[in-house]
Amino acid sequence: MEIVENSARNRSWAALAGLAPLLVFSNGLSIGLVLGVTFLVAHSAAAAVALLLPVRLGRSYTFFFSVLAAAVTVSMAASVVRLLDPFLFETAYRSMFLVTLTIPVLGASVMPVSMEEREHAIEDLVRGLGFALAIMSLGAVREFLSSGIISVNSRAPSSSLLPFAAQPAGAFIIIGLVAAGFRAIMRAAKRSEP
Amino acid sequence: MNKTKFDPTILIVIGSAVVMIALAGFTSAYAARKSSHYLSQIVDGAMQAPVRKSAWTTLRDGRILGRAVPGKGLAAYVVVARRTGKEYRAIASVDADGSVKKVYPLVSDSDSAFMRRLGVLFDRISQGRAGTDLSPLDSAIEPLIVDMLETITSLERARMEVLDGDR
Repeated sequence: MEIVENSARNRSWAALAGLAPLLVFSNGLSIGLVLGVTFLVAHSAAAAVALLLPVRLGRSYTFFFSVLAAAVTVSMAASVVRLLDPFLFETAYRSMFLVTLTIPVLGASVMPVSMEEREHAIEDLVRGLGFALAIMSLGAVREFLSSGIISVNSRAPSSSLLPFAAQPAGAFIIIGLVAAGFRAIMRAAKRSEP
Repeated sequence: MNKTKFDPTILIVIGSAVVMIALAGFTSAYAARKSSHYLSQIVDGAMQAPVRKSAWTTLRDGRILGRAVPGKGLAAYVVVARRTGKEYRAIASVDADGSVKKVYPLVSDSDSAFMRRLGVLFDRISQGRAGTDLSPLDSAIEPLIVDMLETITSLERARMEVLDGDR
């Protein structure tokens, strides 16, 4: 039981580490929203294709087509962003195309083999939603810390609180603090169990 | 003798993948065309010359996003400088030898002292004007502006050389 728990925990930490590039790029609400939504559609597309393709196609083909589906959805998401705001697209397009190669999306592209894995596929989709929310909220938190305000309007008046938070090093420090806080809460919850 | 059965599933999957890639390509081309139209309109609007009807070219060379060239008149370059989530955007109209004639600021994050100063210095240095006010940020910003101006000049000269070659 403990081995299963440890394995699940390690997978979550590996996924979080794989998500680090997106968390670092997400230094504001608008870019966080773009990256979060792009991640959600790419992750969902990869997981859905991996689940829906017939098993007889084999693991390699399934993985290839799932990653391809993720890349195509990222391209479409980028086109939508470009239509809505060309300047935002110019800011975000490099990090958007990175989404396809993140560990959670590649993990979702692996074909579920056993019946049990297929039954748990919905959990994978929910996990993707959680990761997307993490990317968006980190963007909002970093924008608040760096400029003292959260706004999609860049011309809104504000005052700098902690400009360091908008830089990549600031992202790593915030991720570390959040991870440490989360771990402390989990430990405290475990200790309080009868 | 073993006879391997042909599985049509792979063909269906490949066909679907090709359709999706083609759709993504079409969407991307459409978005690029719309984006070019939007950016040339922004330039023409900021220069208060809707009759310019500029043609947009995306360059993405350093801090130079692209160029809007009208049928008749001065070419204009869109400059986008980013730093820690803050952004400064401006349009620089240039003459035939690539020197900046006028700067039209588009957006500047006013809460960032760096971006405020960048806007002031970009306007001042590009016009060759001297200013009396000094800031500790100037030594960090001036090389960026010199780099932007040199890039604009080299891009415009390269464009003019191509035009001269075509004539």
